[in-house]
Amino acid sequence: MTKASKSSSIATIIYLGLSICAYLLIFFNIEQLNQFFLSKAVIPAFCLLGTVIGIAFLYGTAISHVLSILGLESNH
Amino acid sequence: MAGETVNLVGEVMRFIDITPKAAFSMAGLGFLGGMLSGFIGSGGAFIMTPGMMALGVPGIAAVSSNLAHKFGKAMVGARKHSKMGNVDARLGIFMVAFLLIGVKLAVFLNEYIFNSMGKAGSNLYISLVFVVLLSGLSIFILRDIFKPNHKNGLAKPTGLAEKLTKINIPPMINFKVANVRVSLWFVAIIGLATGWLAGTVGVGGFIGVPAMIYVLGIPTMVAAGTELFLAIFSGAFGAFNYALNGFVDIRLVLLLYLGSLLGLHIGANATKMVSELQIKFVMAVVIGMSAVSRAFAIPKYLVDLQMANFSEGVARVLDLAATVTLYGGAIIGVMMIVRYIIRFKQDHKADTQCSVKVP
Repeated sequence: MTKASKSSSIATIIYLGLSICAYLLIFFNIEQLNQFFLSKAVIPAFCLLGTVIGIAFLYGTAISHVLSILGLESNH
Repeated sequence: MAGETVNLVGEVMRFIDITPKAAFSMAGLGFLGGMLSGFIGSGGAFIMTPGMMALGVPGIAAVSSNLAHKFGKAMVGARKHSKMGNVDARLGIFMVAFLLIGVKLAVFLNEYIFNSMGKAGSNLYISLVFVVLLSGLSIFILRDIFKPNHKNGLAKPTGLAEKLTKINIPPMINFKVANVRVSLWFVAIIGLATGWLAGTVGVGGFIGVPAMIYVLGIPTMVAAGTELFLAIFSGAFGAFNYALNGFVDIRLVLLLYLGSLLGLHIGANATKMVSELQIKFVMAVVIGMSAVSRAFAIPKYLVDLQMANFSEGVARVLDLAATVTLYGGAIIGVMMIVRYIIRFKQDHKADTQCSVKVP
């Protein structure tokens, strides 16, 4: 395993782990989170969109890494 | 509930019970939508919004969750798109102002209909917009495919665009990157229409890009790049406005991501293996089936609103037909993509073997 592919594998594992943690954290605390997100105020709405961007980044990067390991790279 | 005045704003948690089956269906829908979106190059809401409605999510919650989903993707991809250099920033800025007004108008209308006519009224309104938009678009693509002397890429804008650039209604604005000089009024109308559609059904680019090409005479690449720039604003503003009223269900957004981001990469990879005509053909089939599906769903909403007298059985059969047509269309689209990939791989393999045999 080359140094580059080793660091790519580590990054993949980190991003996958982080996205799994984020999903579990959100779904196990959805009642409390939704009480906050659905409180119809500016800060909760911003936080909701921030959470969406964060998840899109973490999971999107993880998927992109996994697919590039499998030889399926794209510009998305 | 039939035409009842409801005030369910902020109670989106009660809209859909996320069972393991519903979660799996949502992720699967995300995968179908993502794959088609990566392949076609659009947002995928044209299949995901009706799909969520077929799973029992009220139209307004489906549209708002889809806008949040689109916004997250657009934000993450924004850096890459800005490097493409295909964005006419001046055009974008002028359009954004009107786009946001259009989005705000759509959010207001959607919420008003939902609050006064309930879930069925909101679903009916969204479905009607979908039927008109998607059927028109499907016919347009089919005409483009079967046009004699079809050439790859969108045709050079002529006719309307040429006539409009000659109309001198002040203020006239010069857009350097797009290399056109048009009246601000046309830019305003397109911005408003794109924003209204994005806020109503979560799909704005379907009207924005063709309108920029055929009405304003903007080159295809610049129109697509500028639309991506606009999608960030329409997604952000629409999602924020719906979130302010408690319509965005984060569970739906996250479940869609689970499938869509994976499908998106696979679909985008598939575009390297097919011709533009094949992409357009898949697009026409999926969009057409999606339009038919929404048309089948309308009678049930009319019955729910006590606006039509179909028997319960007929309404139920049509509702089932709506679900079958929608998922059938998406599955056919994905199977067509898989078939094109397999054919490409086989041809590629045969070519490689030939080149090995012939020294």
